[in-house]
Amino acid sequence: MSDEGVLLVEGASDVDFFGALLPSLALDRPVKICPPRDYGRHNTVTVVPALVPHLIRQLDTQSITRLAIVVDADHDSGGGFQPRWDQVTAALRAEGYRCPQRPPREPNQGSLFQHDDGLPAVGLWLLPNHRDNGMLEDLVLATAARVPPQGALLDHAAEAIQGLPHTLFSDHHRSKALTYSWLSYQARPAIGLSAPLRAGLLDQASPSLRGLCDWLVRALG
Amino acid sequence: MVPSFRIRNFRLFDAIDIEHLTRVNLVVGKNNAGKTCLLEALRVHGDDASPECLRRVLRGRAEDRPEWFPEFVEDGPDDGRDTDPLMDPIRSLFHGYQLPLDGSAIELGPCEGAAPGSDAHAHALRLSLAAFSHERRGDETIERRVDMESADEDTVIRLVVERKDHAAKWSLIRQRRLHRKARVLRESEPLAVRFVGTNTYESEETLEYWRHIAVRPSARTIVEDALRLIDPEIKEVVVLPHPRRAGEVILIYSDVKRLPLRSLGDGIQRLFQIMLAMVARPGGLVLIDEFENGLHWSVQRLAWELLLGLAEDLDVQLVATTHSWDCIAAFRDVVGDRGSETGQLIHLGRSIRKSTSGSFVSVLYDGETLKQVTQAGLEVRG
Repeated sequence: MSDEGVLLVEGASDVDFFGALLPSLALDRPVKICPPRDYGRHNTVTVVPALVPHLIRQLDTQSITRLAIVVDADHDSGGGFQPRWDQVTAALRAEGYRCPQRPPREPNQGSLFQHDDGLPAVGLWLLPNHRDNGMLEDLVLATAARVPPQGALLDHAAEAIQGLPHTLFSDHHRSKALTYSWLSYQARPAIGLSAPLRAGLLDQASPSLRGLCDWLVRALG
Repeated sequence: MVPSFRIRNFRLFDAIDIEHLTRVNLVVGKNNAGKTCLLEALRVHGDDASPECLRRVLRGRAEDRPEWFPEFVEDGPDDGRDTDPLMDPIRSLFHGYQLPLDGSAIELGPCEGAAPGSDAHAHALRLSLAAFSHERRGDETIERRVDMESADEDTVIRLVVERKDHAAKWSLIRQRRLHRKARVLRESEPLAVRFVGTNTYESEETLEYWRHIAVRPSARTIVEDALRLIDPEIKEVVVLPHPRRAGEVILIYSDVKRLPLRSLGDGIQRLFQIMLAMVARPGGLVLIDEFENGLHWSVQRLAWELLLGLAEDLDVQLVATTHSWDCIAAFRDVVGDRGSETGQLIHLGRSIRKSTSGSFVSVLYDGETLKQVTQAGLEVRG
């Protein structure tokens, strides 16, 4: 039997981030990080529910042995925590997974849904912290270690964005602007979200990052 | 083309749906995952379960030997001879290896919801057993179908083959009268389904294909060009009569160098077999069991390039099975390079659900999904 897990994510920046994060975890099996493009779809969160039946069938035939899904909760204009929860859990429920209607109250726990008919449990984490609206960049900012000089650089990035003569991005994307501004101030300026992980800029003990890592081990380990 | 395929109660399969079949399909799965079984089902369906087709399917698994079924004796009332020895081995076509006296049937055809079309192969086929009694009226024997429960010693059990669009009834018992009736029904198209098994290249079927291309220089050229992928020195291929076999395939290199194909490696023999099935006639369905047999990994890519092109050009639908990761990788790369939707991988496996444990499931990989198929994610051995 092959023993391979799949972490389904919504885009290339997630592949970059989790590609740096997973090797640091004690997982018992290889895990492929797959955006929708790997399944012939555009990289967008809205197609994730449509991919669920194919992935569950792979679990059923043991082509893969674990499945976890990480997507942005986003914001109320194009998503939001509860609508996103509803979309993904409805697809899983249709495949026989026991998903509660209401998400967990506590942040940073993640979800692990059991199957009524013997398939492996499937994990779900809505970024940033599995309770609030937001996206991967919000997780990165929330876990950035505010040790000198990073605290000052983060503050500076926030001021720089505040002082822009024209704000072209929406308020929802403020965390993206802030994250990538901050990353551009580093010794090796970067645009990929694996960079702060590799450079040790994130606080491994922060509740969000610790919670995410624990959940990844539970779901894929 | 067969657009999708639904199987019920056939051999290993209790039930399985292949929701989509494309131009070229490669079927993978572990041993006993039903790969060959799927080919057999397609063969029976494509040939309308003709007696000859069933006989060949059974012979392919050495299941056509009547002495293996000594308990079966069923005489026809009107000629008193033994029934066709094929009759009882037919039990192995049914799921559970039991002749179903309860009316349950083998069903082969497109999946439910498939778009109805004019495609000759997109019909549904039903194979079941039925009881018939005979009544003599003067010189004439009248046959009528009776309930299985009321069967007595004069009752004959027959395999009834029905097409959804023709409602045909055939008997496989050796009785001329019924065979004549069968001939009135729609005959399956000759060579509509070409099967390449794991047997040797000089099989009856293979040389039958040769007879169809012997007078078509363009088809022979395709076959000879393919063989030159392995041995560029080959000039021509001919088939000569042979006293003990169906024929002898000779490769001609020059006036003085001529070699029997049989004396050469497995790869060139396999390619010959496959190419004959492809070009035997345009259109139809080609089924190849264990594609990789004898083909060195370095040739497999060239072979797939050739076959994907030929399938398009000749309007042939191809379904092949493999155990080999090299074969899958070559197929994946060639389909990827062609950037087409013509190739699809079908993974057959058994469900691990508690309620249906052991039932068969198919997972389809096409387009971009196929590009992501890795050896780790697709165990094909064991």
